[in-house]
Amino acid sequence: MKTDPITLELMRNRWTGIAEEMCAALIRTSYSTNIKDRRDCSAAIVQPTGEILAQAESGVPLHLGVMPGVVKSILEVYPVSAMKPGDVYITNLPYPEGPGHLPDVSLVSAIFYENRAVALAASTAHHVDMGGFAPGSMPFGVTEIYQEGLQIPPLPIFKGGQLDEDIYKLINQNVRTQYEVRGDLMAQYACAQIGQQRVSELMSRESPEEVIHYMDEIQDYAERRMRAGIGTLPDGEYTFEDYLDDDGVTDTPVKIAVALTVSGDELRADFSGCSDQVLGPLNARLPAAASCISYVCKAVIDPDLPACAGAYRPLDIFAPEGSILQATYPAAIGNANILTDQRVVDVLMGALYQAAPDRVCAACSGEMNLVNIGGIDPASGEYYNYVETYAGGQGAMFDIDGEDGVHTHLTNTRNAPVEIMERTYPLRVERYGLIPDTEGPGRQRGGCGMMRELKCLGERTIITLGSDRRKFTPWGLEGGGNASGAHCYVIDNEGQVREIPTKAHTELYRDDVLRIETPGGGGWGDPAERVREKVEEDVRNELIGPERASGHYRWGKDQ
Amino acid sequence: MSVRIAIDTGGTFTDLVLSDPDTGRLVFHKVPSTPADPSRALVEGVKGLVDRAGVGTAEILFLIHGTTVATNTILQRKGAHTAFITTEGFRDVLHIQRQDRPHLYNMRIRRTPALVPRSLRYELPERTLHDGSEAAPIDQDRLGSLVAALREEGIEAVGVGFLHSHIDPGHEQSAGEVLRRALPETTVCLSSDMSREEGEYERFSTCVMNAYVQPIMTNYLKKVDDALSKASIEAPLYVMKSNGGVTSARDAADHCVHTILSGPAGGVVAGEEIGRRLDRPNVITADMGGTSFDVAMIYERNIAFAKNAEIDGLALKAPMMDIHTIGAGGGSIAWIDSGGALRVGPQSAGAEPGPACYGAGGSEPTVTDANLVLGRLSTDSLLGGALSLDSETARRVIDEKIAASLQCTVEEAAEGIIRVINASMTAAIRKLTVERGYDPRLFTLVPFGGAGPLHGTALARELGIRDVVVPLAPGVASAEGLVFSNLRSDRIQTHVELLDRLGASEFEKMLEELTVQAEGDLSTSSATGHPVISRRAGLRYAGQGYDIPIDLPEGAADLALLESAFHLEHERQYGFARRDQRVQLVNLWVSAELVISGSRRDTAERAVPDRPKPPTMRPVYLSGNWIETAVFDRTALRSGQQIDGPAIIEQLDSTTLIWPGEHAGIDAWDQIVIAGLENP
Repeated sequence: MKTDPITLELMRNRWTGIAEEMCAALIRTSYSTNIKDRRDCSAAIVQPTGEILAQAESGVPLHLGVMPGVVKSILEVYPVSAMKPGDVYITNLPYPEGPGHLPDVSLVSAIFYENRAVALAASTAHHVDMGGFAPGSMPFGVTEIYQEGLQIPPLPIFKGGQLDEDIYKLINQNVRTQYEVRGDLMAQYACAQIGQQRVSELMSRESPEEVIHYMDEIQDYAERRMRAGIGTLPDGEYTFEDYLDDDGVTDTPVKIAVALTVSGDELRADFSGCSDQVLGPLNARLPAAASCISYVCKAVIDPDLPACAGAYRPLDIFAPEGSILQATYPAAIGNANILTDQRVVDVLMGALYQAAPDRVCAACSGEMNLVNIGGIDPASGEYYNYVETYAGGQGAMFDIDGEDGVHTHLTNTRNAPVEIMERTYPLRVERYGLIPDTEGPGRQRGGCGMMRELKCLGERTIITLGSDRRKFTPWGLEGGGNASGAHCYVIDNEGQVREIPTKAHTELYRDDVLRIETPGGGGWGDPAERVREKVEEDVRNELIGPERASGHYRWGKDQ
Repeated sequence: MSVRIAIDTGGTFTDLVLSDPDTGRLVFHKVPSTPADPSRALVEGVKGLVDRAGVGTAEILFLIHGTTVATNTILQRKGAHTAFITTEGFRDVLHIQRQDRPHLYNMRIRRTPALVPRSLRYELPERTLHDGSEAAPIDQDRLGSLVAALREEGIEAVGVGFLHSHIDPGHEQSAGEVLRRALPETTVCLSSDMSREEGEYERFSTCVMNAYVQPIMTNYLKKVDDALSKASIEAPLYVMKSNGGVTSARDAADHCVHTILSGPAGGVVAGEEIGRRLDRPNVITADMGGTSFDVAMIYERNIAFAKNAEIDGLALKAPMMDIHTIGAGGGSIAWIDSGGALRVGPQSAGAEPGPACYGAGGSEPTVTDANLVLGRLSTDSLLGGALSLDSETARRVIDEKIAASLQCTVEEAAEGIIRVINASMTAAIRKLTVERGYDPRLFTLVPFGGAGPLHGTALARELGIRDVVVPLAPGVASAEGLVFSNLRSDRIQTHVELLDRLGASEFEKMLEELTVQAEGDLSTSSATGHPVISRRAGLRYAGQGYDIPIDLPEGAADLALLESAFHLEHERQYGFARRDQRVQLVNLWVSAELVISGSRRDTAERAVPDRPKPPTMRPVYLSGNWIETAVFDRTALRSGQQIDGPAIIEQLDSTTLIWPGEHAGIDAWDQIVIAGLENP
């Protein structure tokens, strides 16, 4: 069949449209805050071979590289040939390949046209709880995946369009928020249904043979786009490294290092220099690193790169078995998404700075500042679970300042409005805002970090904190300074302030206040060269104090 | 005799329409806009229009105005010197917004800075809780020193936004009173007067936006009023709002954020009016101009409203229609990407230099160039030939930039450009309909704008839409809509409660309060009569984040019936219902609509040419072939006339394309109706 570039573009748009519509249905019918408000979910159309054809992500780019592993792990147990209409398969198991951590639950089903499986519908969504040691199933203080929560290997969860109540009962018994989990599974089912409907419509409107022919053409097209993009980077080997403060169990810093090799239109990322796997829940499997690379390619090379398998053909990613990015079962894995992966992106930016300095930014907050609070709501007597990731500062680029208090890189989830939080949970927000003097100083400054103070109104409140960059603060580039790091404090009901670790599992009591401070973003260039009007504006706005202005920025002094 | 006049101020032209309800006559007029002082073009236009129509200024019953003053004030950052006072600990809510960034992958795109800088956002100790109880009173001493600071700073407008004021606005009202008394020259705007919906960022943002624009809008409308008086026009002036209804000039100034869509809203109302005339309850309006494509939906005779609106990256909570805009228009540029695919837009050649065929220095191939190369536009089809198009240049740029890479003929490349832009526009319509559970096949498409009718039936066929109606004057459809609009007010209140915990009497009481407020809003106008009330409840399964609006029938509320209507609607939109689950009320919505005066347009009574003027012929490239095609002059068409495709219908500001196999008819309102389209 002949391929013309016009039909190719039309087909590509149609598939993207279907994936987006699937994702929209999932969000609109979901129950978990993570999905409905923070849009931590994705939906994909996959070729029967397992190759992603189109993927829609709304809040987080983290699922980009993970979805192929999800589909592969299901197809290994349940080949497409064995799938029937209305059958939907579930997994949340990150090993050997799968979703990034246990709360991410994936559903995969075949899409039929005239009794033939022409594609697969896949979705991944961050459920509010999957059981285990702490509410939210991303605990610190654990060393094995068994402690983190319920592991669901590939299983048929819907058969002939009906939820398998036997399997569901087992899940239901193990999760804290049963009502939401069931609702979110239904939302993911709705997502698959939309995929089935739209693909049927497409097939009956166009020639099915042509539609199928163009699936492969779209992959080749995406490959050409990626190769063209990589081709704009100069050949060479670029290395960079940074450290996570600790793994939450021991005090040892965790090294993240990459050697990037650009040769022609191909890119190799070798993570051999990273630390071995650790005791705490910061371990990951290689698909997570693939997500990081996918993100960085889009951010640095071409924001418009298609999200499909073909685009990743020119990439080669390696990490040795047993290392932090390719950990061995049953290493704890729950917080890699929010800490390790975000740091991998910073490190990739640092490496690419050497290849394309005007396309990267200095270090961002470098983590996602997870705050998870659960307990019994005194008003209802029921279990509640509040989860949110807090924004920090963005790293500066060579010609623009970083943004203050904004989510960066692998996450873009929205905050929980104060008014909704206070109505929904036994929490009162005392303060919420930017922290002055936390930016990485520079000719272009990094963004300021953010703080929130939460008063606990329940008798006993269980807190999980997942943040980093207390010791290893966000770095600047070309003489730009480092930003402030993360800090967590408890102001107890007697007014005593104590700093607590940024990775913590702890309990608070009635009227205790938790104060979270997030890191800023690194600066770019010598701060003494910063345009004076901009320094004055920051001083006037009380984002930079006069002392810091005259120190770092030489404000009011001879240049 | 009494006539109504509509004035739609656009960026380049100010469009005017006069309607005479007694005869059904419509008179159109166009004058160049005067952006520095839009009231000049408005008054000049009105004078010119009444001259053209041969009526006296005393015969004007009222004027309806679609204005872009609020929108432009925000886009150009030309508002008042504004401050904001908020609950202590929360002055950065406007800065952090919802903590997300506008683009997932483009690291260079920043959030829009707040309209009020951090140094002018003041904090006040006070606190109301989510149940309306007071946790801390207002610190009056601090408020006193804030007054001094505002005076010192020379503040012209101040917004006041406190947490939970949508539940209990008491603190905002008492702070507002102190400010108004102490600073009588300063505009004071309370967030609870702007919105009673939950979510502090969106409510505060709306409040600040209104404060920022209000002094400008007040001045502008006063200027218009003075200029009209000077021209001896004493008829009342109404202003179009984003909800598709009009309001008094006074209310428009006080709630200026309600006029953000004042301009484009007219086009949607025109679509609604066409639906009413033809008894078609479901209409999609598609406005395609030079740079953008705006689509909106009317379902079961109601204009669809937006859930979360924003302008220029700033959140806005106001009842407004859902107009979905993408960067696709006649000026959209075609290009070949790094993977070898043909792409069109979002870059646009704009009005300057414009498409290559304008001969004004444009060197990139655009959609207009493609239409010209294919013979669908003629070289003298723009502005009645006042602007001559250069088809040689259009051919050359398409050949060099597109056909050469695709290794095809210029015609194939041009047709490809049209197919790709049509696919983008189709996707925009699908987003508005299919993604929300509406089947586009149940709708009539009303394309307008200069370029809409040229692409209309192709879009319709791609979407499975069977009928297309092209308005009488597609280039001034917004003004035509204004002239048929009614007074309307919408009141929305967040009230989150499980349906089974809510008593019917409590429910009734809330609806009653909202109804009184909505009717009160209309009483500021000079119109009399009894408004039509419609009521809706936003419901969801407890735990979900998005509600579905369910219409409430007239009469006493039946909560059980409401609940079952919700299950059905959830099932219709998403394919499943959870009848074992509890249903939660999220908000109540009451709208009041009042007809100003007989605004329906009856079928035209006018002199029609005895015999249709015969068409001219020209070759047009359609689906891979040059076809000899009849070209009609729209002004010479008469109602009842049938035209079989292929055909082109040209008029001053627009061109309609009828494809082979399509059949068009001219209806009693002089509209082109292309019915019974078939899928490709």
